Amino acid sequence: MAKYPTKKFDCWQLAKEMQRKTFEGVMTAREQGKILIAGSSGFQGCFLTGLAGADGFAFLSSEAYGGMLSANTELQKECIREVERRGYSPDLCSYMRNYWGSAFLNRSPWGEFPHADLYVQPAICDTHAKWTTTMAEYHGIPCFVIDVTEAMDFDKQGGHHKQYFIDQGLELIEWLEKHTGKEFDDERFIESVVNHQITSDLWAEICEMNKAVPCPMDQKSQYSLSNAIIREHHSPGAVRFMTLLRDEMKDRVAQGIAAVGNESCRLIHDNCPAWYALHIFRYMEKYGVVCVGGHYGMAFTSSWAYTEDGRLKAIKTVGYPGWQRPSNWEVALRVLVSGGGGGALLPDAGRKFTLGVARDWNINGALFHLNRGCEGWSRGRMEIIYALREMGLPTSTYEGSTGDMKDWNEAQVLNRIDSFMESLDLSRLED
Amino acid sequence: MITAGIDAGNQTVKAVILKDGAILGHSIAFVGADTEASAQQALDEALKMAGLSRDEVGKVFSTGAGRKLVSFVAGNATETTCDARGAVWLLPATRTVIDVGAEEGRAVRCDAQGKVTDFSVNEKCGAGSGTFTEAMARALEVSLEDFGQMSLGSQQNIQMNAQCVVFAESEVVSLIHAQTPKEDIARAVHDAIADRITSLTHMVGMEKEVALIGGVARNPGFVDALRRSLGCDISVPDDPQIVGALGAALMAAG
Repeated sequence: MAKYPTKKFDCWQLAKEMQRKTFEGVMTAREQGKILIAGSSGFQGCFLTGLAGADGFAFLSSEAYGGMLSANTELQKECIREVERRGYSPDLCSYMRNYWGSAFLNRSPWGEFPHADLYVQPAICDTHAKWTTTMAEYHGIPCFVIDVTEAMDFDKQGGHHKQYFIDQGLELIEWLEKHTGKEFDDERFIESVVNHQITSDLWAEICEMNKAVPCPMDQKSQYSLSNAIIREHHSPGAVRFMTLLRDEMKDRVAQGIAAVGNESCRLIHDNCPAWYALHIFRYMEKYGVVCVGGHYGMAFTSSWAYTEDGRLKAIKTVGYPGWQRPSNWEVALRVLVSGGGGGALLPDAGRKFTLGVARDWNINGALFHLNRGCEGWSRGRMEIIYALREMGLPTSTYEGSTGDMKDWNEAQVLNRIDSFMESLDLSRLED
Repeated sequence: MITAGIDAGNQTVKAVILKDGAILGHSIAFVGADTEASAQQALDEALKMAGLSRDEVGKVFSTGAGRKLVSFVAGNATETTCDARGAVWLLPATRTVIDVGAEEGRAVRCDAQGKVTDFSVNEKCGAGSGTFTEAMARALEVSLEDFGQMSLGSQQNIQMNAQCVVFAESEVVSLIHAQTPKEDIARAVHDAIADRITSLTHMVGMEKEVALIGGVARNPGFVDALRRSLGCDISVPDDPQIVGALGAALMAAG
């Protein structure tokens, strides 16, 4: 008999359907006369909406696609092999290698590789700019790279960083108009920025509800349900979905519905998981463990702030008393630049964020994936581990790669998890 | 109550028979293709040493990389847990356990009851394991036993730059060509492994007393190198290889 009632998410099917439609839209963009734009997930969705309307383009999110290939064990092996056969180093980003392999082989899970018309790429880590410039050269298509890496944590930067980003935004608008022949629409852009803010607010609010005991949403589900904000945070569809999910989370908290019926230990899991080995989360559940979240996942497009005493808190950037809708595109762009978020990919921000979760999410320990497949998310992880240990929180690590199975040793990883569970005085509740 | 512990490692299987706080028998057998059969063989030999039959043993617990492949046990626990339990039972002042086996190096911090409080493992890399010493002894064309003793006669401290077993072997060959005394090469190899293990140990926050267990603890050259690298004394039990199996036997006793 489980300690807590459990229930599947009502909006699970809707999330899957949205994902299917997104990729179907990518694969059929040409037939529908839409522009297919590829690049890293980020704020560029707002620019693209300003250009073509929410339904006027298809967007291939390179990380979401790389992650999907990572989970497809057979295709992943072929993609990685093809990239290495061409002389690229195996220590490069594993998402990128999967993406490139798919392009080089001209194969995707649904047929041919979806060839984009344009690349628009925020250079959010040391790999991303090269990811798309290499692909743009390979396919002979235009590419626009936005230099943002260290400016992602705008709170830490001076006003000139914001202005630098705004100037690039203006350049991007001109570039998009030139390459598509379409005219940028300020009103559509403003609308998409507001949608972006709403989904950001909702995602932080949703993740904050995981403070509850029992935890209503496990981290594996969190990854799946966050897809809407990764791919289309700027769209009305994402706003609808995130509102539904938020309301469902409220119900789950009110009714004490648990993600793991025998929840007895709550862990932070951090860094991108190995997408081909998500079963480790189910493995830990057999010990009564629920992973409640971590910097990777919770800090995706989201509105967070810190209180004066350093506590992590979801905030509202839209609809609060006195809030005003951006009056023109430049104001909207400044709003986009000033959004909350957990400073994804910045080690200092990651430490601050993770310590915030450790403090207020009723955490018993933390498990870190030492991820050889993603340099961006791996930066500074050991420093975060040391900071958690200084708090007195038990931590452990396992080695792997988010998208390359050659770096995965299942027996060693499970043995490491077993050791960690035993050190936490946990024993297997079921087999 | 008589209990038994089996440590199914990557290269050897160890078995310990325990009764009322005394080790009655122990054994070490090489792992063949059939881990279960090797475990059975090790247990039979330990029983023979103890002068007992299988029926006289109550619970049997397993540990080690192959612990789940041994079907005739009542339960199992990881090497980390059993190392700490066994080491503190043998040497009660132990708070940090270092286990260097054939394929893994491990540092475990524990409390007075032998409960793990933190641990760190060197895996996927032979540089912090017994495999490293075996490969280097081969390159020097000396036995593993002589290799350990030889390094104690070193007259000068030289640096091994390579941290990878494969490249270190090339470096050893280069040192031989440069007519570097074998004693100095042996010491350099042990120093390199000791530095790696020291790094692991500091990751968990070393607390005295420190115990060294596992097969590599029988290598006097490595023990000397680790003492110098850690900057403190380390205790080595009489049979360092069987400590994990002892921990499993203690787990079986409850």
